[in-house]
Amino acid sequence: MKLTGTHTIGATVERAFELLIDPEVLARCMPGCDKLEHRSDGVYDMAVSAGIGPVRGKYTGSVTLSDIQPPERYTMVVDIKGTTGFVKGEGIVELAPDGENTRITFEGDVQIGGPIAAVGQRMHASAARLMTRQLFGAIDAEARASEDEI
Amino acid sequence: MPVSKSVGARIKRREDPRLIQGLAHYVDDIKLPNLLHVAILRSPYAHARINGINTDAAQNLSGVKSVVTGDDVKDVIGGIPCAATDPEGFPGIKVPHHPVLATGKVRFVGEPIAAVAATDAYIAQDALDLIEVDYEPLDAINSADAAFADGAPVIHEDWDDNMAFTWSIAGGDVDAAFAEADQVVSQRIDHQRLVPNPMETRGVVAQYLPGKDQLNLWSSTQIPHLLRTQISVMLSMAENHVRVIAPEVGGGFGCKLNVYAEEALLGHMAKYLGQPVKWIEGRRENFLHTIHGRDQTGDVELAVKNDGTILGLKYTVSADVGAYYQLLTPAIPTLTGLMLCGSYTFKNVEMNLKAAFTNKMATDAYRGAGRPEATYLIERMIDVVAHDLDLDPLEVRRKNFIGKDAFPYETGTAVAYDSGDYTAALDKALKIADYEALREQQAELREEGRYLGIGFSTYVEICGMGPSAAMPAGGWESSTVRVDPTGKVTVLTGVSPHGQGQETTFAQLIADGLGVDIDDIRIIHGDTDTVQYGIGTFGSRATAVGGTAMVHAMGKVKDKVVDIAAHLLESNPQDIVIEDNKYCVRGAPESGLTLGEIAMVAHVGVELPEGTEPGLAESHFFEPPNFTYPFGTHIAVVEVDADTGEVEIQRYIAVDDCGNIINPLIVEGQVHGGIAQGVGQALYEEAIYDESGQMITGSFMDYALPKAHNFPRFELANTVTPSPVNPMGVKGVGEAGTIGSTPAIANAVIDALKPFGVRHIDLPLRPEKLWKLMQET
Repeated sequence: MKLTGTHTIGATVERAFELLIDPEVLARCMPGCDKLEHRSDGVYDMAVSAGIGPVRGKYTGSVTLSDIQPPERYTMVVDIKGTTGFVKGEGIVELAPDGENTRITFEGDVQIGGPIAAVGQRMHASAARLMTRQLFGAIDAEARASEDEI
Repeated sequence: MPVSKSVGARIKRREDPRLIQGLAHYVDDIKLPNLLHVAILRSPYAHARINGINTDAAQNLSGVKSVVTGDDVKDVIGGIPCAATDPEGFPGIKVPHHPVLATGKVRFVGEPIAAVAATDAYIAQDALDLIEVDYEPLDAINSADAAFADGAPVIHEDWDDNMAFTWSIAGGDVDAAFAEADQVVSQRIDHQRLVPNPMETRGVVAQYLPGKDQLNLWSSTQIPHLLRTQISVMLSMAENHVRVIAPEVGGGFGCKLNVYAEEALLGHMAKYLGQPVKWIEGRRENFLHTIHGRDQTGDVELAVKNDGTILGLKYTVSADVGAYYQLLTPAIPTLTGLMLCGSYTFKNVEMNLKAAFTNKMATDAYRGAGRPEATYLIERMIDVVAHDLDLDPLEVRRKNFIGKDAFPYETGTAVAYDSGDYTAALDKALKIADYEALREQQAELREEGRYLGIGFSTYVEICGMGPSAAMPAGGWESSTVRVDPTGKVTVLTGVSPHGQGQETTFAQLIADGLGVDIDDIRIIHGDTDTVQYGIGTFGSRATAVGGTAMVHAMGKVKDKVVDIAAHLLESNPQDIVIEDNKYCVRGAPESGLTLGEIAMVAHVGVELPEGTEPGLAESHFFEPPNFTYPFGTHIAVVEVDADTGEVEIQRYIAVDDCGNIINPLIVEGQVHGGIAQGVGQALYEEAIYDESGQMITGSFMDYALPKAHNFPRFELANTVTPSPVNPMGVKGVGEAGTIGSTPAIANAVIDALKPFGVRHIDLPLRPEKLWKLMQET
């Protein structure tokens, strides 16, 4: 499944980049994220709870950030699995200034397997869109909140 | 007083009261003391190496009795059998080992990897979550084309490629036919993959009795005896120490004509755990790991004259058979080959099949099994010919029909059609449909921008399976008929039903044949300790083959009853007749004896004619001399909504000829269900695997089955052309509806879209597909 999209974050490119690769921020912002801990050089251990249609489950695995070129782009590889299947994705996230804000463009390929693949297939794309919107929306909120604090 | 006639009467199914009232006993209704519940861990990957399995946490979960992996059972449970691997029939066939639990590698999503037995089904399911499997994913193959592509990953590494087998059939002189043709009409035809979806999923209960060294295995199966034989081989047990029971079986459609991993696995676990075990298949498991149907894609070429005469046919086809063979996998597409000539006279025919291993569930017999493919392609091609030559599809059919005087008729594929009158069925259907008026209505509606379509299918199928020489695992059938001292009749039959109504139709035959009330007859089936060996119910064979075995056994009983009656009445056997359920001397009904009175004499054994054995029970094993060939005409009238692409079936006319009819109500029921399933293939159903081999249509949310509101009231009728193959003249009707309806609907929809220049569309004909086509023009 191809996954593409753009989102706007109310912060400078530098600030947005910082937020995006900050595990604490990601752990707070990622929908259903139970854990996100830095393991080693760009590799994070992750645990999430998520559901598509009737299939809900917990997934564990890793997120790897590589090819990190602050503040413009990085590559993200997600590899998680749980009792209801697995999700493997690889994508490129790019940041560009958009006035005072930052425009984030991502493009990736996601492979879903196991029971979650067999159920509600037509909902996968919209579920993925919803989850990325929630993620970037939450990061945007963090960015604006932290700006308020300043 | 006339003899009462059960045969031919619309008698309500004797099975139904228990089914309707919830009094039937399916596998899941079986409860045994100390029963453990089994759950199966299945591969989420289509193709992956297994580098390790850690079951420690699952094993330690409270309530878990045992966790079994492939390594635990590979030396004690033999491979899952396939009965159609004869290299003479399939030159160069590759026969991979098919383990009950994967070791080293998984080859399709849903492949069993481990089994947990626990004190309840929920604990067993929870324990699956605790099993850690270290997978190394490999590239997957999701189609025959991908399997044959250069550089494709090899699924079975004992070989260099994914070619499972090839198969060919040829008759007549195809080259000459194509040289002589005015035109060659070609079309690529796809038969999509389908999921059989019986209402009751599979299920197994196994119990081992150590004192007797006996394994009792309850399974929702169509073939209890074949299963017993195979289980005894897989588990290295003496066959006479294995008892298989098929209790109430809630539908099969061919998918329970098989031997599955769980059946052997549970048999083994019951023995090794010393406790009975139960596994009930979930619906999602059923989608993934119960056999699928169809999945052939091929190029058809027809050599035709400009007047519509068909001279010859070539079919070059790939079958995607999945990762392993199940019981009959390679045999299914061969049935397509046998029936390629349809109801038509051309004899120059050639089919070349290549079958591919892919990372999918195995295909096997699904209602029609190979014949729907043949019927769909020839009936669809007749309409393509009509389209290309600008002829009425009816005219093309009539021009090429085999005449009623030509039977028995040998086809180009060397099968001998037993009897038929294709024109009679067509004419009857046309009359019911009022064809001329329909065409007028179609023309009028087109003026209004409404798209009515009329589609035909003038099918012939091959049933009553079948002569043993032409079957992978025996084609005969058996029965025992016995009369108790009190005159009640017990019938044992090898054709274990799963919805076909043998308890009614077989009793009707006995009631008439022996002169006994239908309520005094009991039909017993599905228990290998009770019933002599039989083959099973599939291929529309139960009545034609199993019923014939019973009628012969009944004939032997009747001969003895008549001899005893003649002796008691001091008459000659040839003068004894049954009147009002009494055996009497012709013309003297007042002195008649009931079957019960004669049976008592037979059992007391004192007043018997000299040399007559006491008792009253006879058996018969019947070997059919040929298949039977039911036929008919189906006409579908549909309207395609120009705004939405939705298809509404306005009328459905089916004239089926299944030979003599024992119970019209049951015949109609079979036709109703068959039409619904064939329409499912035409309009809704498709099992799709994505590029990574994930089945993305694994629930009823994603795999559309037809529902009652999708259908009009069916207009059914019959012609009756008795079969000469069996004494009852019956042919079989279990699959006719499915075989006939798919092309009728496809032809109707494509006819509706004729104003848009549509010549062919692959199934299923979903609204989005039709709507797009209508927008393009």
